[in-house]
Amino acid sequence: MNSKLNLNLKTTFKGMKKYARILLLVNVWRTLNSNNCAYYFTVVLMSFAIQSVNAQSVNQTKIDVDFKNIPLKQALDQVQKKTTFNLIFSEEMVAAYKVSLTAKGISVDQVLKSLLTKTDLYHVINGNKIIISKKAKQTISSTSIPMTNVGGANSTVKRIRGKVLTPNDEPLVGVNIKSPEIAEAGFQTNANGEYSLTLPEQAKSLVFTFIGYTTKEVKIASSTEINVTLEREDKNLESVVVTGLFTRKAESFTGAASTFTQEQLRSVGNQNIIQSLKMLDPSFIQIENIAAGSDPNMLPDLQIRGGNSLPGLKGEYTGNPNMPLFILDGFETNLQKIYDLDMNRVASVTILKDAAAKAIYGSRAANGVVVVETKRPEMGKLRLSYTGDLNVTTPDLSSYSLTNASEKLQAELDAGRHSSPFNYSDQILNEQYNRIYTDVARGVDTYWLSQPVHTGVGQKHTLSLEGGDQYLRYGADFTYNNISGAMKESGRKTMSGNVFLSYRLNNFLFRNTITVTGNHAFDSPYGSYSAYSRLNPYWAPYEENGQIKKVLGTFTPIGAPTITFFNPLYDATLGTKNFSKYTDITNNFITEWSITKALKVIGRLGYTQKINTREDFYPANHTRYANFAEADFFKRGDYSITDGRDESIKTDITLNYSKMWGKHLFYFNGGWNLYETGTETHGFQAQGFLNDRVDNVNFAKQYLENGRPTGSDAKTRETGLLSALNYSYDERYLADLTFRRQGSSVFGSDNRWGDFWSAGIGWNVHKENFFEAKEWLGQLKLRASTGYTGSQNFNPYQAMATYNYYTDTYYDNIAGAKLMGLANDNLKWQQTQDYNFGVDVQLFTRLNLRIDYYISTTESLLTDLPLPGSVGFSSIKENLGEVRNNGLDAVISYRAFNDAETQSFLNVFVNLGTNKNKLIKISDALNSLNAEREATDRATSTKPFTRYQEGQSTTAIWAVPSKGIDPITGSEIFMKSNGDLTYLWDANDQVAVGESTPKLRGSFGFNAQYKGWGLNCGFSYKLGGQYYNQTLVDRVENVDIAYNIDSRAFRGTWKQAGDEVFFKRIIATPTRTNPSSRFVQDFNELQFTSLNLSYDFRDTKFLKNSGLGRLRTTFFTNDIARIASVKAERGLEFPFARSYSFSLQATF
Amino acid sequence: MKTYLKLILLAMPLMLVSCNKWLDVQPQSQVRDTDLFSTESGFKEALAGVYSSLTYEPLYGREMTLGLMGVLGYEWDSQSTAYDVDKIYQYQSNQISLNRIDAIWNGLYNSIANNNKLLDAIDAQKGVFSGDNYAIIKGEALALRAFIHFDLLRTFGASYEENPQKIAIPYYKKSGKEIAPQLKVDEVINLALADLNDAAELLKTDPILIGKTVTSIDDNGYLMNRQVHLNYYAVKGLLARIYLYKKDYVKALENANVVINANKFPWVLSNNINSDLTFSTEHLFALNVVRVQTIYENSFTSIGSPNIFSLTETTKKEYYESTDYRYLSWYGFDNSANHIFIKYMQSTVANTLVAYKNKLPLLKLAEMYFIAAEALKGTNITAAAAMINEVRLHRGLPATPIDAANFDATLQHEFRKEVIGEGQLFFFHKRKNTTSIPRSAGLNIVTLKGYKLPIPLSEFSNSPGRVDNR
Repeated sequence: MNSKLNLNLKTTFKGMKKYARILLLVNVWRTLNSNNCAYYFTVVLMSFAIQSVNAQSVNQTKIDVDFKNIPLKQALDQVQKKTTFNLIFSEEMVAAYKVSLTAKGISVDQVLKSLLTKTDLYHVINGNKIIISKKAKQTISSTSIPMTNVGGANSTVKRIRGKVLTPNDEPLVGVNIKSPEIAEAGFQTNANGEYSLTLPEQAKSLVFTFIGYTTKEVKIASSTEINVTLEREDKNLESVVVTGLFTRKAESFTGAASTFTQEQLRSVGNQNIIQSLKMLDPSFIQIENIAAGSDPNMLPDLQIRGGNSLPGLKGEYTGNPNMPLFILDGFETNLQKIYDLDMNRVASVTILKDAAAKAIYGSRAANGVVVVETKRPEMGKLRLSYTGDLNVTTPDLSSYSLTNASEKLQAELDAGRHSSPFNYSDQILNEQYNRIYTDVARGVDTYWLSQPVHTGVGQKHTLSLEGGDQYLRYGADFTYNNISGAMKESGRKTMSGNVFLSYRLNNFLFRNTITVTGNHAFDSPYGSYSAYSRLNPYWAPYEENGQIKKVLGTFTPIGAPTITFFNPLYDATLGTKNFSKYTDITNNFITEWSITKALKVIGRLGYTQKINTREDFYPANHTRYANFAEADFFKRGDYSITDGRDESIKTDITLNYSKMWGKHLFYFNGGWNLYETGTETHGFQAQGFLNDRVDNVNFAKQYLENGRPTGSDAKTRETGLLSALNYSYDERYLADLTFRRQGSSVFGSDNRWGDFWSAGIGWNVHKENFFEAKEWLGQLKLRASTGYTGSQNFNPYQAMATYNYYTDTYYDNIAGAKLMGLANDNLKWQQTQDYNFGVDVQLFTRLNLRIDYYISTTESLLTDLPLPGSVGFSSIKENLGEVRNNGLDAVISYRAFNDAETQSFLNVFVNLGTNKNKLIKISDALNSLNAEREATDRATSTKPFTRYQEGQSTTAIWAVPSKGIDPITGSEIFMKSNGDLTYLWDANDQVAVGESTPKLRGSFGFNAQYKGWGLNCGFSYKLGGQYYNQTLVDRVENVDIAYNIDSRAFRGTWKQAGDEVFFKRIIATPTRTNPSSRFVQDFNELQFTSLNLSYDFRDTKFLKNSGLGRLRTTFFTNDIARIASVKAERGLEFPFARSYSFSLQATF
Repeated sequence: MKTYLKLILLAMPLMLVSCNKWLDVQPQSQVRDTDLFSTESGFKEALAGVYSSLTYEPLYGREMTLGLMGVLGYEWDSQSTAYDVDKIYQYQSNQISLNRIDAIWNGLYNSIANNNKLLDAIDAQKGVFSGDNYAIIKGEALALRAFIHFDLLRTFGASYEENPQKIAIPYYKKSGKEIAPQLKVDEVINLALADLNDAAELLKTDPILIGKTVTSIDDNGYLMNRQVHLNYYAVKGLLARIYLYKKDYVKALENANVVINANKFPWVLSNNINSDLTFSTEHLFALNVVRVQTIYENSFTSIGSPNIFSLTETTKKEYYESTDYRYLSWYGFDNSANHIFIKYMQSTVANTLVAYKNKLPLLKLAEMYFIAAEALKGTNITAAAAMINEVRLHRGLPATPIDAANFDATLQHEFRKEVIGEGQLFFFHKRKNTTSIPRSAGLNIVTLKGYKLPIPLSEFSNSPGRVDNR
């Protein structure tokens, strides 16, 4: 079937004229609509293949021609037939000519030259496309005004003509052309990108400027034809703010938003957007997850400008309550999609931080908004780009310092594990000691930490093609990303395909993007990393014959049953399955209708469906069942499957209007939107897998005993009206006003609708007359804004009264319904009031500075209001409590060196951010919650947990103040809240002894470029916070001697009266160390986060000869080194990792 | 083009009008209240849910019957050590005991909230009901509200005998977060009586009253098993119980007689006593507890050992004569020949009638005779004696001479024989404010304030103005 298709396409290409490709794509579009995506991809990829194979240099293609006085059109058609080029011309234009030409084996270029010599036509070769146009002279003459009044009567004049093109050889229309020597006048290129000027003698050079492109200055010398190619200015993206619904000129915008281009994102890493953003923006914070380490399947926990909600409350929130809102190409999306999004597809990312920027998202915006725009294909011939990355991940185990075999055995001996005052017992313990000693003596010393980890090698390939003309544009890309985690066999595979089409018809523009993503995330069969860090080094994982051991060792304490220690490596050989998968299909359709130049209506419709599944399987031989009683023999082995489906649909209509009256400039956007998102899951568990060879759920003996199928659903709907006005007077005085009225199903029925607004003002000081002439001041802009947004990341049904059914009983043959909770018809969003004050400065065109200070107060925090039991329920969800965040973000960059000639520069940057969080008001509910959580936590954990108390931060570390270890008794001395000293730890004496949020955090580094070489280097730092050193508590002071210990254990513990030491007395059965200020340490950290070196082959002979448009290679390293003031274990369940990658970007 | 614009602008507000309805999302994995109460079956399910909520161990499934109430009434000789402090009426000295009592309070009020939710919705949805179901369901729900509140009063409030003016418990007539005021004993009683009288009025169409035969074909047999619902006669019986508690003997007798004279609840037949252990034909109201066998096994057999409720041979002999049906059918032996209480054991015999199964009686015919006897005592001791003897007769016992002198002792003895394991004995003593319950080693329950269980602390901390009930 493939070959046939191929043939058809070839014929299509050769046989058809200029719209061949268009027709093909129309066909593709139809195919797309019939939902046959596989076919669709094939078609697109095939078309690309034909193109690239046949794309030959115009000079290499030799043809034979024999034209005898035939119409030019006919001749051109024949040339097209004989070659793979697309000849583009208008029939009207060529109708007047007849040509004759006979030649053998001449190049197409020559053929065309000969054919067109006697006409007023010329041809331009543009890759695979040959454009035939009318010669410029005639068209230009009318628009070009000879500058007779310039330079005086005696001046000689020179005529210069030429063409301005994009890098894709598309003509640029309306390019401003000015000669710096002549102040008075400027010119513009015409519709074909051509110009023709008459200049006085003193004009030495021409300056070409065009918005979105780099300015180019060209010396005139003696040339009469100057053709210029303007490079696209990526940085230009910074000069607009993309809010997802519309764009604003950064110059006139008063909100706090920062925009990063793909180039910038890639300058600090190639892993994912989130990884890069946290380096680039000081207010974008990824909460470090000490337990999850560098687990590729663990989605990061993010915050913008501190937490507005109280985490860890019971069931109020779906997911992380502080998670920002993500917008992808104008459509709301989730973190997972952004996490899996291929960075090569990204055009820009904008972080909206203050009310003026984010209020358009109303009740979802309080946590900040991340707007991601993907690339749109550029006009031009079909271009193919490829990016390949080879990623190497190596585990970083440097935070661990565990004992080796002989040290561990000595530690056991010191701890008295192998001795007893009773002879008989002593003998038994000694025998056990001797057995271990023999092993140690014969050299067993297993470094367990390295057993489940490996150097992961992953790869990523992105292939994209794009092209089109001013009517139809198309783009398609395909990504395969295989991430290999540092734990053996852990990883994440993502395959994604994306097709973009846009069509312009008169003043309508239609755009459609369809994206299909498949993901397969698999957890390591080696299980939790913490299992390995506990294992004793004197155990060998393998028998002498190389067979893997199931049991590593046993120990029989006196008067207690034997403890068996199992080998987690054994479990890894059994074929456990732990994976999740999803398939996501997203289609976004956008129509733009430009009613007038100033008025535009945009309609969007987006649909997403995601099917996901999670499976976990443990076979019967797994050591977790080793202690099952005989009666439960057939219950060994578990399989659980959970399936889910997410669906969302969104539509909106936005009206954009801009108007200028004198110096008054208005931008207005109004809109209406509708959004529905739903999730449903169902799952079940089965047990009893009688042999290890089968791992399919249908081999289960039965469903989980007493188990029931599970299921859940959540559906949210919202709709709203939006208006946003941006006003500027003379580009000096600026104002933004936003209003949104929004209704959401999440809120109580009496509070369905909320109003959100923002107001911002700005002053471009540098535009004032008194600064206008000052060269040193590039920009000085003052901004202030305030506004009101909401957050509603909570359980969508909790405002309602809902019923569930009794599943374990029925009454008189009826299954009874049970009310789940009281409705709160008044429940509403959490409301956040933001104030932002910012300044943007540019000095000497080298130093850029952006500082924002913010105060953000969240009221009506969602919490449980306790009720008396007689109401029938113990609590109701209410909006109570208040939390405030304030802080400062600053971004400073300095261009230390710049040389346009060699395109070299050195840029140094420093980012810093501070955030202070304070609970202003909490409800009594939280007090009882404190007590409740404490009661459950105290029994199981030695970790401090956050108490919520007015005046304190939500990230404070709570512990009882410690006066250290009493040298007399070896017990810890605590200070009670009334100042008394005691040996007894009491939860009520806990105070906030530290703050886990650093006082200052940020990053710094440099970007350098010399000719084609680029070097980027980034560091991140955290200063002035505290850290509760859990390692010292669990692995040093309260060690469980049955397992491996930190090498610092038993050093500095109290042994006899008079010892002035840090650690308390250790007795045979370790006591629990409750949260104590003794383990709170000052935390400062410096991380060498990223280093990358790149080489761009531009302007090299190699590139010119290879026929490539662009070639660039980059070597990345991430998370290279870390210095911290606290020595504690990190990466508990999954190790942290360093990554190295090699990346190749090529455009054909 | 301007026309298009105008159209768009005109259409926008129209879109918003329908929005509020659209924003009212109906969950799939749970049922929205408005959704549940949009059909008759929803009301049936909600009502069944209220009954179901009572069947669990923290409420009538154990503590309100054979568990805590059984212990407090000294029905058992031995029980779990978890009841040690309850046995001596020192509830507040042990958290286990307080948790159990809190669960009764919270659980019963949760049932009330569920029940009120139904009552709040039912009048607006009168149209969805078929036949007499509206009146019957609403009548039952009103009766349930009174039933549960009265049991809360009997558990936490002072007895009427002690002080009808003492502040006791709140009476909730609406579901929601509004906190109802704490009322005096007689106020609670009056509200319960009012609800019951309304219920009796609504239940005038109860098939059990009008004698309509319901088969499983009619409405899936919804009104077939009236004895597991608060039917008309159960309401009357409950009225009799409450009037007696209130010492309104005339009304108590009047209501008891309605039940007695109806002849709708035939006495158990001697040849059924081994298959119908709870004497189901005599139930005015019993809970349909699907899990009753589990409750039985955990409470009385070796499965729940050693925390089981048991009586010694001696006590059994003290209670019963050897021809007593109850003696013959309610006691058995386990595999180790230990004496066990088997009233709630479920027959494993294949053809046992469904009606005999899964019943936990809460209101029985015999109590009507005892109420009538007590109501008649002051006016007609002969008739009163006849009432008691009527019960004895149907238990396989001869009549016994009863006069004014031995009336109280006889009644108390007959009562405890009949209601063992049903939790009524403690309330019998509470009603009379007996200083000391027999077999309690002379503990002065009145001075120990043992008749009034402590209201949970959370009730005081989360609703201002609550006063101590004790």
